Amino acid sequence: MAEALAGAASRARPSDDPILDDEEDEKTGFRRTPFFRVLRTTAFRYIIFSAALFVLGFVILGYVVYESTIGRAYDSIEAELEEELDRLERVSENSGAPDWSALNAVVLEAESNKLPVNSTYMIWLDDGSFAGRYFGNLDGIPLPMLSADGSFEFDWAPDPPLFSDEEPRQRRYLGLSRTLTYERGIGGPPVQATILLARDIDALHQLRQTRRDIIFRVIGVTLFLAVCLGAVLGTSLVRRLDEINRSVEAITEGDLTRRLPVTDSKDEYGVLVRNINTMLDRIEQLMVGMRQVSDNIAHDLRSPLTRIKARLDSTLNSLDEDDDDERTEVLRKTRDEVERLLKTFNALLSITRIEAGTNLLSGTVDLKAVAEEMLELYIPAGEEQGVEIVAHLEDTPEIQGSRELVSQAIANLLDNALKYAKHPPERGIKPKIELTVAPRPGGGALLSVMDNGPGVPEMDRDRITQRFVRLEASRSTTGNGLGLSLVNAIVRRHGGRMSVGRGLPHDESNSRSLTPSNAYGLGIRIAFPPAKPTANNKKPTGQ
Amino acid sequence: MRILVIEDDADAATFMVKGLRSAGHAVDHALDGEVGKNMASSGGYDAYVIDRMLPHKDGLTLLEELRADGDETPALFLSALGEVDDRVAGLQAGGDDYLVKPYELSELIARVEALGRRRGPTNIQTTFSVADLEMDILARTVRRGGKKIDLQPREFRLLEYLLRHAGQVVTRTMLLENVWEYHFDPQTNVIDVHISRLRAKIDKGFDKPLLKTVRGAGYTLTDED
Repeated sequence: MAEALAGAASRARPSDDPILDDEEDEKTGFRRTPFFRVLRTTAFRYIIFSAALFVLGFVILGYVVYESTIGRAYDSIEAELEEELDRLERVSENSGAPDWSALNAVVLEAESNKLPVNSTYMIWLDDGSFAGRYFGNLDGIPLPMLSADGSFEFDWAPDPPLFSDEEPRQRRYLGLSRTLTYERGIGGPPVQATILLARDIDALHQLRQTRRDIIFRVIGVTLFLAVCLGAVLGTSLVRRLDEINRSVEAITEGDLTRRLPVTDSKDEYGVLVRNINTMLDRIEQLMVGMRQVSDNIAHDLRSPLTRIKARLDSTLNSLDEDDDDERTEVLRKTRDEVERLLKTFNALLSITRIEAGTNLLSGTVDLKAVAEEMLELYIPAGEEQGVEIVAHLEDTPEIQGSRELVSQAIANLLDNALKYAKHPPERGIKPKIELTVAPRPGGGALLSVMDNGPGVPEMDRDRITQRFVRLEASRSTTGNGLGLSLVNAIVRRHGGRMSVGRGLPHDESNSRSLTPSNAYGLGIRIAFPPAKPTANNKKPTGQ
Repeated sequence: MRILVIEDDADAATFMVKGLRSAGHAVDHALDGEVGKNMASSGGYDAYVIDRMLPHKDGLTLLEELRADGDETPALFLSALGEVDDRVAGLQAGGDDYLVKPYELSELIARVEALGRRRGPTNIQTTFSVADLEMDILARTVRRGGKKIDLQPREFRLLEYLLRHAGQVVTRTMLLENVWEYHFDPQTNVIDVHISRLRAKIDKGFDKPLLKTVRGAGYTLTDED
């Protein structure tokens, strides 16, 4: 046992175990760079992910808004330019022969302030010679025009108005060009005239820039806030989990009394920590119970076994002596002892099975009917032993559970009461046992078995439901000390509670007066919870 | 009776076989499920005693297969598993009785002998008698030497069970299981008290006691000495 524990402890140490080694490496890696750990927390990841989604949504929204405002403004300017070009083309056609005069008309039209104020124009003539001719207020062909297919944007600094001190400033224009072909009157190759019209969109452009800046800033701020929030949450998560992990590690290494640090918070961590602590309480309780059981087994099973062995040894040693009677006596005693051991063993096994049971007790039990049956079984035995068994049985709601187990519990209680409800005859107390079944206020049922035996001192009452506990006074009597713990196991299995307290008064005429508790017998009271509501929950039928 | 014991624990089996033989039965023994199945299939047995956990073929499967082949020989399961569910599983597999280890040899013998009688016309029999003690199940009357005896309902069932197994030993556990339908072991001698009350009613005032105590085993209802 000790070796096994030592083995388990050494296994928990990292150096022996490759799998744990890896984890430990990762862990120490974590510990050196806490920020890296924060990045790996789920909280951080969730926050970054949702921030990314938020940003995506923002970008989509921005695009939609842009299309419906600035984009539409661009479109309408483009349409105006198109219309303007159409008009200029018409002018050149209307002016008769498509030649220089038509071109002149176009230039005139352009220069006669019929174009909007904030627009600019240029006409580039290509007469086949390498030197083209330019009209208009642009100094040259804007570069984007050469590669543009349709409208294009370019920057140009127009001359400031006359007599003003303004410095020329680059402004943004939206341009559209069209190439017209004119036949020359005198023959020769036709003249290509490219007309470029542009409109000042500086204000619109500024607006667009601002909008882009805003979007970038919002994205930046959002991501920054998300990283900060994630880091803060992640850090607190890491810190709290570290606390839990440290405690759990300590507990794993064997310090079962240790508990996780409890915070007052009612959040999910508080609940988790409290739940884990409750679980640890239960585990510790079970461990203590196990230790107690093994101690008790050591005592209650080992000593009879030792006795048996000693008895057999001495019989073997005296085999040559011819004493059949004594040998028979030894065999008989040994047989009885083994039988008791087997009974103890069976009882232990039943308790363990009942306590370990995980399947729900599916049946329902009519407590009154079961009590009646047990009374019928036990009253004659009571009479035989001069013990009066009285009963107060009321109808109760059915309880959820096993008839077999409940009746066994009642039988054990009656066995126990019959065994202890005895007094030396000179005290003149008539032994009595009272079995009560009553509905429990608020659902469920109550059962009690009380006797007027010597009772149990208050300090020992909690102990007698534990395994193998027989109070010193009863060490000499038969029984394995498992009766009440079996009852307790059955009651707990049914979700009920059992309490050990004062039983019947020794002196019934004096029951109202305040007498010391040892003038009362032992009373076991049990509360069963109500059956869970199911479709086939019948009313108790009695018998 | 010819009995087949299928039990893999050689020591326990030897002990059991010896006990059953000394009680006057012919006993064969198989050490595992396969061999047991083959021996059982060859037929000719009055009862099977089957351990639930066997090598090669577990007891439940074994009996289920035998029952599927139409073998109606009564069978008793031996098992260390004694919970209600385990019993139910045993009975559903076609077992007629279920005895939890560790058991008393006398208990085993009594139960095996009771099994031999279980099948047959006794089940529909409505009147029983041992010597001058008579019981009519339908009229719910009991007479001894022609004189009517009044019995409580439970006493009636107790006597009925004893009469159905007249001449056999019935143990306290068998009575608790069959008359009261409980499967636990009370520490108080409750059964003895009920028996002594019944005895007071049917034997008192008559020359010959019929309800006898078998030391270390149980009771028997018989007019033999």
